[in-house]
This record gives sequence, structure tokens and C-alpha cells, in this order.
Amino acid sequence: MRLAVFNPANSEARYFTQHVLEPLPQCKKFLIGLGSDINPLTYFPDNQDTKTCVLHHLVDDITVRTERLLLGAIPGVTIVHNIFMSSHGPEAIINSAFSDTISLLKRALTKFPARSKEYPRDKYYGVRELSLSLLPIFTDPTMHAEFLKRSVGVPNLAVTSAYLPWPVTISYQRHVPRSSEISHLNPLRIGLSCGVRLGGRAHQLMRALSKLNNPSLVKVVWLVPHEKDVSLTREFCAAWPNILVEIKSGRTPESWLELTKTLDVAVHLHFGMFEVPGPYLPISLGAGVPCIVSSPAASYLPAGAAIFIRPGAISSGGGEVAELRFAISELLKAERNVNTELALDYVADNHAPQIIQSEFLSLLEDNREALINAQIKLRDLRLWARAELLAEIKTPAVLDDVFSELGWHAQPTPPFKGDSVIGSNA
Amino acid sequence: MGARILVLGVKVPFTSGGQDALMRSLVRELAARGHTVDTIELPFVVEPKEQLINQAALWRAWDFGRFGGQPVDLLIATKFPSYYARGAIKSVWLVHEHRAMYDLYASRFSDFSDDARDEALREMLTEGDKRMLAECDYRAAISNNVAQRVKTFHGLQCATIYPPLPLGDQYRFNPQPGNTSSDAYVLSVGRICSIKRVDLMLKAMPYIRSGVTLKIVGTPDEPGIMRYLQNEIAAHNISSRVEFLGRVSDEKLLELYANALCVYYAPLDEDYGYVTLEALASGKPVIAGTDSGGVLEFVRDRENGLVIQATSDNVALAVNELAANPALTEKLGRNGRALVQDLGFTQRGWDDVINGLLSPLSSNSCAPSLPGSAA
Repeated sequence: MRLAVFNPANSEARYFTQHVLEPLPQCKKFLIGLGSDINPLTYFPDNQDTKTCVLHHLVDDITVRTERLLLGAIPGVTIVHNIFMSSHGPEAIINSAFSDTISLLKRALTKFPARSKEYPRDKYYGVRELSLSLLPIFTDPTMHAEFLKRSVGVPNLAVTSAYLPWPVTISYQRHVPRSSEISHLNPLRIGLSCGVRLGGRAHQLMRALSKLNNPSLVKVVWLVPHEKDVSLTREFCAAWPNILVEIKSGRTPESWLELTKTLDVAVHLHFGMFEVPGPYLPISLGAGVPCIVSSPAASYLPAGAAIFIRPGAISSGGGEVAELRFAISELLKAERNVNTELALDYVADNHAPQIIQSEFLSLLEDNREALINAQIKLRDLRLWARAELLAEIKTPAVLDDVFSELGWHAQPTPPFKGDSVIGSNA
Repeated sequence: MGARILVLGVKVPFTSGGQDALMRSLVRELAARGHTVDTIELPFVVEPKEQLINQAALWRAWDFGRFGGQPVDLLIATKFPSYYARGAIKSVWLVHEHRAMYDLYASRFSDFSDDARDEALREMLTEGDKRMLAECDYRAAISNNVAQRVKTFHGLQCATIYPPLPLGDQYRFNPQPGNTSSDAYVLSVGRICSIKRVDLMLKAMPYIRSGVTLKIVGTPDEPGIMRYLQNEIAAHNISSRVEFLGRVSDEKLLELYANALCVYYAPLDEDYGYVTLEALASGKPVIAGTDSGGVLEFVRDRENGLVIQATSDNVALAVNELAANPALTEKLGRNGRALVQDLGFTQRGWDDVINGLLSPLSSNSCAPSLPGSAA
């Protein structure tokens, strides 16, 4: 079996590809076709064989609109970095016929829908993408849990689904003390990698910092994805003029790793599935930076590996904001209460790239037959679609020779054999 | 002795754009060099997209190799799907392919969805395009931008030959147009469709200093586009400051260029854009977008124009800066005019075009090594 990996446009997807997929080209059972020599827009599975599966990344990012459309046109293995998209995606899929596509594959439909048919909008963005994934692999366990919960009773193509942690190499060098370990830095440098939306909880951090006895003792270094995010973040910060904030754009896993070298603490307060920590939390842990985290996004971390904050906690003492203020105050006193050794061990055990690579291969191997079977069904659907298209356009007989020359005639459609084995039949 | 040449193009009835000017100019220049030349244009429609396949097949069905008992020596194809033609030696001077399947795929300018039938259509045409372009005896594109797309999507090499200006050296230079600031106008030229982003210019008008008006040359070629623009004009109460001139004569166009404050031309990923060079030849700064594609092969920020992130706010800022600073406007205009003259985009540029396109007619022909060819 072969896996065709498109060169992802998004930095996090690229990071995953570099650390998990690129080291695997010599694998015996799976030939990983990678990167720049595969142009997604000119890749057509009909010219490959049914043992080739495409690998997509699902990311909530405007830069990956092409991948998001192609994910439905050529379903395959999907690395899911986010399940809640912030838009319906490209205009061409606002009225996507994906539900009928699934029904066609499952033989619940025997005719292609009319071109004019209109489809109700998804209840939440991302339904289409997840329904069309043959093997969704989640990089966040809470998203995986959410998918399992929501996919019950929903028709989809998934043969199975899985969680695969972000690959992280420990960057902390034990013999090179961090700057904050040599001398207590002033101000305390606090790293943020989230957005300004509620799920990132940055507003709670800012409120906590503004209530410090001396806010000038801290400085927030906020790494945002794109240049266009800078002005919005600056406006957000304007509500707390007494907090020193440095905003940098160009957030990538690599740039965050570089930044961690200068941080005294990294804050990852992501709350729920609406903003996820991505690779940034394990990178911070692997860099030996004390981390302030919140559940549920980090509930799987061992106690003591990070400072835990209860998101949304309200108590007489002030809840979440008070907890944050206390944690930062302790760090200012150099009383961290964070066991970075434990954090490093955790990263080594759970995020080592070799472990992730091995797990990824196991997933493919375990589902090899099902994936090949799905490819056969998809090929048959494509042949059927071509025949339908040619029937629609009613080509005059005078063009028959041209169609033959260009290989445009309908090809025989192999009949579906037996019941569909793709995904759940709900 | 001249060759018998057919220039092939497509025509969307009742509209005109850069390709019409390109074909007219090419035919004129070929004839001037003693060739027997004629044009063949077939109508082209983009909706319904399923019919694209029949339109491409129609070009292929006809044998263009012989007419009136005489052989045709050379076909020069220009735009999708004219390069499906067969029957004689074939050069392509590519204006563009059907962009909705390529660089515009998954954008709001493409109607290709994830429906399996759309994907089948895209596969058939993409593979057909590659085969048809590969069989051309000579391949050139009208800009590096178009050549690079051919390289990206088909892996085919393509020379770049920039089309010289359709009105040669007739463009006038009036460095200080208008007797008063109230005569100042921004000029927008081109087909009126959403990808040209005329709406950004309209939405910028309320923020542009009073006295500056907008003149729009061109005809609509997209359903509903004029209603949308008229709604914007009404919503912003700018009807007294916006003038739609439709299609104008060459003489009128020269006059409009010469007397404009500046030219707004910020389409999304333009193939080439005659308008850019016409504006520069007329000594007018061009306001372009950072994502305007081929336009940026000529427009340099603060050298001969202003290159902005394409938002209406930025358009307004750019126009206001030019309106408030005549010295800057004149300097940018002079630089632009000098660039066009240096590049030879007036009359003498045609020799490069003709030599390239006719190169397959000479023995052992091969694509000439041209500056700016896509690697």
C-alpha cells in the first residue's frame, strides 16, 4: 500500500509531516510518497492504483482551503488538527453534496443527486470533513473524544479513528541551564501561543497579571500565527495598559521552540475543544519551560509536571484569575512547584517521534485491508461519476473520435460487490 | 514568402478584454511582416461548466490543416481551449487556461465542488490540457505568472513573451493633469467582474478626498455584477463621484490615461494586464494589490506605483497619498514611463513575439531562450 502525502501549506501540518512521515519512506509495507513532487491539484487517483491512499491534514486555517476541498474530492487518511472549523470553507463546498456522496458509496442511493439540489448547512463546521475521512487521526485527545461522541449515528466513511500525539523531540539540555535558572530574570517572560478568542483564556491571564502587586515585573511575549493577527491582538491587549506585551507574528512549531529558549514560563490555558494547545504545549514541556496549563485540554498530564489551573473556576477567592495570579506570583518568587524532570519524562514517553512514527505505521497496517477496500469503492464511484457526467453533457456523435483520442469516454464501471464495508452504516 | 497562419482564440460575445486587443495586434503585426493571416474564434461559455468538455472537443474535432485547397502553415493558439486545435504546426501564446481548475480552485472564483462529477470533469480537462500543451511545437506564455502556472500544474516549460502595447507608442504623457484638484480622477480599466475587484475602489471612494472622482472603463461580463456595484454606489452615496464609461474608443482611452491622477488596477492574480503597461506608458502610477500576479512583474512599490494589501481602506490611503503629493505622483509616473520604454513594449517588442511564435517553421526549431522564461 502506498500513501500519497500532499505538501501541506499550514505550518503545523508541515511540522507533523516532517517529524512523522518524512522519516518513513523506507517502510516495507507502505511507500510514503511525499511533498513537493505531488501536486494536489493534478493528482488523480484514477491514474494511480487502488492501493494508493491520499493523506490530508485538516487544519482550521485559510491557507488550506484547497486541501479542505480536495479532502472531499479525494477522501483518504486525515490527520485532524482541529475539528471545529471557523467557516464553511471555500464557496464551492458550502452546498457540498458530501452526504449524498457517502450514501452513493454505501449504496443507499442508486442515482446521483440533481445538480440543483440544495443541502442544509452543517450543524457545526467540520462535519463534512470528518464524515469524509477514511481514517481520521486526531492530534488532540479531547477532539478525538468529541468526534467519537458526535459521530454516533452519523453516516461517515471512517474505517476507524485514532489519537496520535504530536511528535516532540526534547530540546532541553540538562548541562545548559536555562537563563531563568542562572539569574532571576526581570521581568518574568511569559510566553503565549493562543489566539484572542475565549477558548484561549488569554483574557484571564491578562486580568491576573494586572492584579499583581507589581505588574511591571512581568512581560508577555505573544506569538500569533499571521501578521494580520497582530493588530487584533494589540487591540485586545489595550484593555490592560499596565501589562507589557510584545506581539510577534509568524507562529510555527519551530518559531515557538526558538522562543521557549527565552521564556521563564509558558501559558497554555486552552479551554475545551474550541482552541487546542496543538504542538505548542508539548514543545514547551520538552524545552523544560515551566508550564501553566488548564484542563481539559491538558488533563492527561501527570500531576506535578505543570501548574494546573481550573478553567472557568469561580470561588470566593476569585477562581481562575486568582489561581493564575497566585501561580505567577510564586514563579516571581522562584518557587515554581513544577517538576520539569517529570515533564521531560512525560514528553519522552508520549511524544518521542519514533514512538509516533511506529504508532502511525501500526494504524496503517491494522487498517490496510479496509483502506484498500475503501479505495476500490472510491475508484468505482469516480468511474460512475464520469459516466454520469458524460450522460449529462450529451456529447454529439461527431465528437466521438475526439473523446476516444483524449480518453474521455466512459469506462466500464465495476459493479459494487456485496455490502459496503466503508465506515458505519448509520 | 510569408506563411499562412491562423490565430486561434475564444470569444465571449458582447464583451471585450485584453485577449481581443492581443489578437488584433498580433494579426496586424503578422500581416505587416508579409504573412497571410486570419483569425478563428469560437464562442466560449463558462456555465454550465460541464459544457467545457464539449467546447474543448469541438476545437479538437476540426482539422485546421487546410482551407481553400491551401495548407495552413502554423496555428497560434491563445486561450483555453483553443490549444486543443490540430492539423498543422502549433504554437501557443498562452493567455491562460481555465483558471477555475487551477490557481483559482477552491477560491470564490471557482465553481468546482467536491461532487464526484466535478472531480471527473476536472480530471478529464486537466489531463487534456497537459496533453494538448505538451504537443505544441512551441510554448510561450504572456507573462512569467502564466508560465509558472504551466510549470506548476503540468510540469511543462514555457517561455515568456510579454505582449507589446496594443497602441504602440501613442500613449501620451501628461505629468500634471488637471488644472485644479477638482479635475482629478482615478481611472479603472478592464472587464467588470469580481476578480478585477473594482468594488474595492468603489468602497474606497467615501474615504478619498473630495474632488477626486472615479472613471470606470469596461463592460460587465458577470451576471449581477452591475447590480452589486450600483448597490455599493447607492449605499455609499457616491453616485456623483463615479462614472461608468463602458467601452471607449482608442483615442478616448489615450486621453483618459493621459489625464488621470492614477490608475487603479488590483485584480486577483492577474495573468498579465495590459492596463498596467498602458498606465505606465502614460506616465501614471498604478495602484496594485500585493496579490495581483502578473501586474507585479512591472509595478514596483514606490518606484512606479503603490502596491497595497487589497482592501478598500488601503486603496483610499493610496489614492489620498497621490492626490496630496503631486511631486510623488509625477515621479512615479515618470519612472513607469521610462520602464515601458526601456523594456521595448512599444512597437519594437513585436519582433520578439513573432520570432518566438514562428520559430517552429524554421528547420530544427526550438524554443528561443528568452529573458524571463519560467525555469
